[in-house]
Amino acid sequence: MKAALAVALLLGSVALADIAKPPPAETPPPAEQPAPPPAPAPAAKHPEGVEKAYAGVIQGGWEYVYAAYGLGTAGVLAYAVSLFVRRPKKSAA
Amino acid sequence: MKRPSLLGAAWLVLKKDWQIEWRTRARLTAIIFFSLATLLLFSFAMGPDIVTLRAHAPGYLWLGLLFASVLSLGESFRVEAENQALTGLVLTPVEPRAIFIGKVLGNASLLFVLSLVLLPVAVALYDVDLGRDPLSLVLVLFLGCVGISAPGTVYSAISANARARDVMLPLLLFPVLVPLLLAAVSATKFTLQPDPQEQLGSWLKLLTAFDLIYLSVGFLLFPKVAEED
Amino acid sequence: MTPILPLVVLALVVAAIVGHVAVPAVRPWAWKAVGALGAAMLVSLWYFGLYWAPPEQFMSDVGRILYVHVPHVWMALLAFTLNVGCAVAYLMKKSWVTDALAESAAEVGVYFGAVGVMMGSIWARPTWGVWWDWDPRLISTTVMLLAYVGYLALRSFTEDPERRATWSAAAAILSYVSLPIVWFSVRWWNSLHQVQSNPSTVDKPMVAVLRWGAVTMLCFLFVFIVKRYEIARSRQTAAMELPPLEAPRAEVA
Repeated sequence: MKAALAVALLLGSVALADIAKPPPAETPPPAEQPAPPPAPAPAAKHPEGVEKAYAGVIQGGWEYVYAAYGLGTAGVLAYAVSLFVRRPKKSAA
Repeated sequence: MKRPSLLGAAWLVLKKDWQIEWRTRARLTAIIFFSLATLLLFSFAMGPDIVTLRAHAPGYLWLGLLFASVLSLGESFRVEAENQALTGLVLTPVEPRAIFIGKVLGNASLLFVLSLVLLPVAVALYDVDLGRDPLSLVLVLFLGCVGISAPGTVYSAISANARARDVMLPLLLFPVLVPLLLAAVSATKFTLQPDPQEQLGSWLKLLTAFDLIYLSVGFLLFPKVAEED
Repeated sequence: MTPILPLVVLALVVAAIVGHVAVPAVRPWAWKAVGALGAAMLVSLWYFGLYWAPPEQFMSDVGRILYVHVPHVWMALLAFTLNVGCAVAYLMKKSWVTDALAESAAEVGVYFGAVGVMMGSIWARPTWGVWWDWDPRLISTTVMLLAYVGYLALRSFTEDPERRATWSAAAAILSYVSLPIVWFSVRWWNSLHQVQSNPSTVDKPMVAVLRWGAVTMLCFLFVFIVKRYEIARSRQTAAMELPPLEAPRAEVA
């Protein structure tokens, strides 16, 4: 039974591994983006997500950056407070 | 009494479920009418544009099946929980794994029958073309029903005894079923509509992988879960 | 990022948490020290991320969200991995310690995941022009989050502690198994592929700041899990009518 199970798991993962291969380009890649005018960067050196933003360099957006950093800090504080509120009573410890 | 083999015991559990179901046919009737209503509601929500409806028919079909499956899976262990029948079943010299296999097959067969009933309804409501690749379509429906039942059986055994069980089952089950829904809807789409890039095979593979993985994991986990019932 | 590095970090975090749980002498001060370090690093992360790091090539300043967003998602993954490890350990050998640790890891993971997804959404707005996008990572993280919210709900809806422990362990394993499948299926379903970024495609200072952010969040992860674990343990002992397990033995904590 163990062996059958192992085979089943193996088959499953093999099928998945097969699937995991990037499929043949189904849609033509979104029309080759014109190189952004300001910096004709040859090597694609950019973090995730930027591939979709081929309209050149994004200007500004600082409010989003501050929102994200603020959210991170506020989250840490809020979760710390929630842990403090739920702290175990001394007698129980 | 001779101890039945794993598959023999699974068959006994399956037969028992079928017998209970056949005696009243209440569960099947209920979920058939429930999903009929769901499919009808989808067409009301989307408006009478037949082109849109036809394009989205696979999605509606699988959502209808998914919603019905929650009702049907919930019922599957509620029957057992009512008179502590599952405890009795676990105490019999039957491996809990056999109960798992039997229950998965029981739930899957019920859903499969439901899906076959829904096909003509989909033709009537959404004007889909079933004649393009009927064999693959039936295969997709079967694999999808097994895929819903495999994790669903474990989760329904868990939630049958939890508080707020009607909320618990979908809350636990739906996130896990996301890949199944994607694969089943895409595969169904390519059996009903032209498939120029031959993507059907790969979606079928994903469905099979999903089924095998969840059957194995459920097979391993179910005895632990049933112990606590 | 070499594939081995997350595992090493996970092992370190586990070792630190186990040490904190097992050694009573460090319990009063260790978490404070790590928390203070985390707070200091968070303040300097503001400086490094917002000022010191160069603007990103295409996204310019918006790219700075990377330094807080990605560490959050990493921490969520780390916490969920810890959670599933505890779930497997619990099913193999019942223990209230692994149960409590699984609970705390799941809750902290949901916290980091939720903040990470919100940051991703904030980031998506200026870069893609929408608040939401069918990006495989965004969807997988969200589905993962939903699965673990279900896990926490199951825990709070089950009264019997032993049932809760077993059932939630099973639910945790089923949810965790779904992660790679969700990832593949969504990526595949949405044929707009994106290259996974890793340090080799990102500039050196950016990697440094990203790692700085990761270590910052790692400090908070440690403190949160350790403190949440204490709450879970005290709730267990407060319940008092804990049924005896198969082999009653001296508790670790």
